[in-house]
Amino acid sequence: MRPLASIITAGCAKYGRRDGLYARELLAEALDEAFENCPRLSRADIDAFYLGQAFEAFEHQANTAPSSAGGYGFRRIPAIRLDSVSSSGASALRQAVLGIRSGEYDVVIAAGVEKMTHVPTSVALDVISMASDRPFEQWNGVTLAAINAMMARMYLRDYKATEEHLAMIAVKNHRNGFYNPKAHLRRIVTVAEVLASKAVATPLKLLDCSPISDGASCVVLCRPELAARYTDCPVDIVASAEATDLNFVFREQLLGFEATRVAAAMAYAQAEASADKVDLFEVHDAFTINELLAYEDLGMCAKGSASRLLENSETSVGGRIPVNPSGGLKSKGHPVGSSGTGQAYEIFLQLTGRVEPERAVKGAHTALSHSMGGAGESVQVHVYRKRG
Amino acid sequence: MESCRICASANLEVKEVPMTGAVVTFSEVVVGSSGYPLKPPYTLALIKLDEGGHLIGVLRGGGEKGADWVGKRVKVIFEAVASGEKVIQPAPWPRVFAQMLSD
Ligand SMILES: [Zn+2]
Repeated sequence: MRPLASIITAGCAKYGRRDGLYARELLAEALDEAFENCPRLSRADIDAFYLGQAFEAFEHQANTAPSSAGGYGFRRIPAIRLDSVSSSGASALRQAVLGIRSGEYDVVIAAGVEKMTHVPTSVALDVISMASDRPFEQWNGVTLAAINAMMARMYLRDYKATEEHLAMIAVKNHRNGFYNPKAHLRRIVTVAEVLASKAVATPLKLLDCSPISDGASCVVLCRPELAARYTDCPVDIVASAEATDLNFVFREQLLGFEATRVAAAMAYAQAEASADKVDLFEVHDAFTINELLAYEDLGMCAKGSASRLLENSETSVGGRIPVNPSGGLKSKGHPVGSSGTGQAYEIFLQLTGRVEPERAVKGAHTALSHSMGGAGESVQVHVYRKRG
Repeated sequence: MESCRICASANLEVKEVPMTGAVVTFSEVVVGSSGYPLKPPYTLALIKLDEGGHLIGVLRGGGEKGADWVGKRVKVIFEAVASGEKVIQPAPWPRVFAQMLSD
């Protein structure tokens, strides 16, 4: 099968509280890493720049792509910002893939960024709530945590799962993030600690939620036949799929994410693969319940049986199907627009054997990223394969 | 209007309905956003209306903390925005609350 595009290098700014920096400075940090690790690539090679960034409110700044691109020396090239809230980075990645696929461009950058921690938490939550429908959700007291909490309550009621199972996801992802130098929350936690952490929106607790983070990340893509010019170990993108849904309150089916199921089916068809052919997953885990639902929506297990995967440690590093070896949004952090390209960065490192041994998925050949905007209104799924 | 501007359904008719329903799921919101005037904690409920469709609103008249509201009967109340509240929206729009009905 012919790859859609190839990743030749990638970069990521450290996630966390990055006081005193603007989004474009975080982006420059990520771009520096990508260029330093790919000496054969020059700035003049870049044909287009796709930037995932969700919110204009944090820096009171619109149209951030041209100044970010121009400020880094990509002059006069097409540069555009994409917003699908939490999956903005994955939207940038997908549009970059399509840009390559169209034949218009040879080499492009997909990047993502968000600068969030300089505003008070309640203000940040108000900005983030823009992900939900204004008149029918935000307006009536909805927060993103509350939507996911209501979904968690439905799941725990309908299926064999408990708050302990949700806590096990946090514990697993914090363990992985502990070994990730780019992660925001590098701290081992226990199930008891997660369960004892203070309520955010019942039944979800603070340690069920990803943090508010600053961060940026990028991947550089090229036409598959040009990859050897830039690197000896490219990673091919073999599937790029996207699906959308109505806002949560307007759906007939409230539990699980139809957009994930639709995008996953398209991605598996493009990659000529199924979930059991994927060696590692990076999935959207802004809230622990998201990862639990992703196990089922991505076809890793039957509906209602996700808790079994956790009980058997199958999704831990060293298990049968490692999920979120980066630490996920949960521990690595969730600078909203960067989370999608951050997943691609992690997969590039994993498939080229460059991650810390404690969280390395040994022998990984095929990987999948799943990024979600809002409460499942936008979903992007990409499948990656190590070349050779 | 020929179709619903939210779900695109062509099965559209204007009629008066009792606006009653049952709680499908709920969450006690402890950490709120600065954009909603009610200070947390408040209980947010997702209501399945008897006539079909869902609405989300803050539960009123619920008693004790930690109770299970799933399946409880409620009446949906629309409330105009308090005067003086800063509003950014194209048209005036009420807020939804869910009033508990006694069993
Ligand atoms: Zn409708």
